[in-house]
Amino acid sequence: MSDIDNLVRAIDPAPHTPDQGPGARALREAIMATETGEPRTARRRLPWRAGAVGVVAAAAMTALFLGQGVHTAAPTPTPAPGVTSLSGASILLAAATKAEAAPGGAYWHIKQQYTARRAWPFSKNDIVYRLETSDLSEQWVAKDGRGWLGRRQLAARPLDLEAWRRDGSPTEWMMGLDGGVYSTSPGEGTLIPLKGKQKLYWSAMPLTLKEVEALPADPEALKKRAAEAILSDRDFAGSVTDGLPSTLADLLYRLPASPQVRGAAYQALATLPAVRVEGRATDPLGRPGVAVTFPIQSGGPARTRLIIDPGTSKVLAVDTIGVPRKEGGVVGVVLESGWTDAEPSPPSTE
Amino acid sequence: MTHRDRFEAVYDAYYPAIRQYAARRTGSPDDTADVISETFLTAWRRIGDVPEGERALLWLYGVARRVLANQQRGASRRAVLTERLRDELAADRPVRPVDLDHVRAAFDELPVRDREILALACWEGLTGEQIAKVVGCTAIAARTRLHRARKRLTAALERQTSLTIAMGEA
Repeated sequence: MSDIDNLVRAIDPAPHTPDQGPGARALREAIMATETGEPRTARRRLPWRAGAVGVVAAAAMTALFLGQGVHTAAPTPTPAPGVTSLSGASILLAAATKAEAAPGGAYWHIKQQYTARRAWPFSKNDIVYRLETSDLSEQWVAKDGRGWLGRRQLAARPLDLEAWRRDGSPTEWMMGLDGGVYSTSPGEGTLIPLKGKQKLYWSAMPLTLKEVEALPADPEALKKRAAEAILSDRDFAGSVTDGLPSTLADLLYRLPASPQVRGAAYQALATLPAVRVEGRATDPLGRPGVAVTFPIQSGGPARTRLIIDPGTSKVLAVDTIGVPRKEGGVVGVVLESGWTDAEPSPPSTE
Repeated sequence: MTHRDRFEAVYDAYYPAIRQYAARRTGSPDDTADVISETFLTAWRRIGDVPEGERALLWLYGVARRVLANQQRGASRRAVLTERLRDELAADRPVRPVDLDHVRAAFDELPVRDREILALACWEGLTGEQIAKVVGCTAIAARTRLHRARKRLTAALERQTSLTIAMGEA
């Protein structure tokens, strides 16, 4: 190994070998919940290097060294005028008082819909036009720890109708070079029972339903516990300050926190200088709410945006803003978040 | 071994390497998560094509490289899959030692092909033969490219150093 190699190694942007965190495990489960391409691809074993050609490589390296991603101009929520009269902290504190007891049930259940808009480059006629694609994603955890994931691809639709007609009005689009299609018809819903007892991850900390229920209902105590959860990630390289807003926001919709804890999470968010109440906004379903944002990393331009309904304290939608995006981004709409007695079932479109 | 077992084994063995590969070459947690999820989704869909042993990692690098090349790699179209992963990656920011800015500047001014080959050699720690498998060339070509890339980086570093001194004196 030459001196030059040592210098290059010294500027390695990711020198530490990461462990599989909870996010990595969730990704593994989620991938295995999708359809495998087998046995279709098993029949014809293509040389795997076939696609890696020079032009492609050059484009890749240009893209990655500029740190440029394919990113979003968020399709929806637009702040309405007249937002300055809202006091940020008071909105959050008002929401805190509205965190009412949700009805009980046998399963903790969250159902979200993700919608993306982007230019589509795989037309046979070299016509690029925008597609809108959506997914339904559901998760259940039973009180005894059993868990399920549900997923369903929803109907895709072309956004530039004239270009789509010139392309021959296709009703299916390749997902990418490696297979898969988007279709104008919704896909089948899938329900995957997960192996073993499920824990819910709060930042990097695995919690049972009981442990989530037992979180403190005092804002300062909750911030302390959130910091512990953040620091429980052995790979953690950021600051607790960076992690606090998203970790507290998890309690608002992703985790089965009690109404008292959700209230405390709103109060705790109101104390964080990085959290901004941006004013009125509507979610992609047209539901009115208030946009609350915080940076994904302190100092960075990208911010997570929650649209909350201050009347019920519910989180309506989540997306990312402030990233220069060439196209459309992804908006996640929270359709359901709460306890239910309904048995887990493949996602329906209703 | 079922496809599921095989995929789990491949994922568990190579997730850290693929995550590092992706993190080194992307500018945001969202992009990193996209590359990781697209790479492993491809492995899942084509699990019968994934070679055995260490070659599986080189195969995955090849897929990840192609995912990066594909400008349309998703605009987070896998958002549904990577929701938790994105948070995890955002919490784990890349390290940037300040005193090496001149090395980074010299590296950044190299042609993309040189940067790729040096990164595969020094960050992923691959041999010429392994690099050849990832980028799809002969081992001899890979070693030649690596040698030339080192020479060009040395020259670029000398330029950077003189530039730094000149600016320091100004």
